Amino acid sequence: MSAFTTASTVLTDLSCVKKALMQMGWTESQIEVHDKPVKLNGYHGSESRTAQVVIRKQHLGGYGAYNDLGFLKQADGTIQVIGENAGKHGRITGNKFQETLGQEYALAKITDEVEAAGYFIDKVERRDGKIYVSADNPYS
Amino acid sequence: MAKLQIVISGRGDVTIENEDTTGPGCTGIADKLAAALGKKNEQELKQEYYEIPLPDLIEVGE
Repeated sequence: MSAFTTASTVLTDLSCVKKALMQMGWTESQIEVHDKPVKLNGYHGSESRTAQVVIRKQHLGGYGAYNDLGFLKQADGTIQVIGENAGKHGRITGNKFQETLGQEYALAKITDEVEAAGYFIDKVERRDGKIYVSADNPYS
Repeated sequence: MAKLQIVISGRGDVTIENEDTTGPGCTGIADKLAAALGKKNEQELKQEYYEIPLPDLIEVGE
């Protein structure tokens, strides 16, 4: 018997956000992870906004950003993406960025969860704008 | 052997196909994954396959 379940991804896990950002091309040293939120830098210097996971604006050159990019865990457990939608082309918080982030976050979260449940990731394939994952559990 | 086939769409929506929902360790894995991802959709799609026994071969005499 085979069953299908569908889910929409909501960002709740900062460690998986970091993994997703690394998959999107940033290096580990470019991604700051803090236990407590730290201030973000804007065009004019330090801003009042804070975040636990931060990519400083100097590492966002490809996006033409004037502000740091931050990820803040909120009281309800969800993660707020704090970036500029002005920038040169508004690419930081634009749809494409958020979609890619959501997709890579889902892959990181799935990998963590299925491996914790005793499964092994057999194959990850990126095709037609989607990610296909196969996982096996040889012990069940 | 339990097997999962997972598709992540461009928008981050996820479809999980659990190819064996009966073995130990299989039960609830899809629900657990959906919960970990954040939001399991209200409308759950289920598709079940049943093995239909073929009738015995009938020898037809002339």
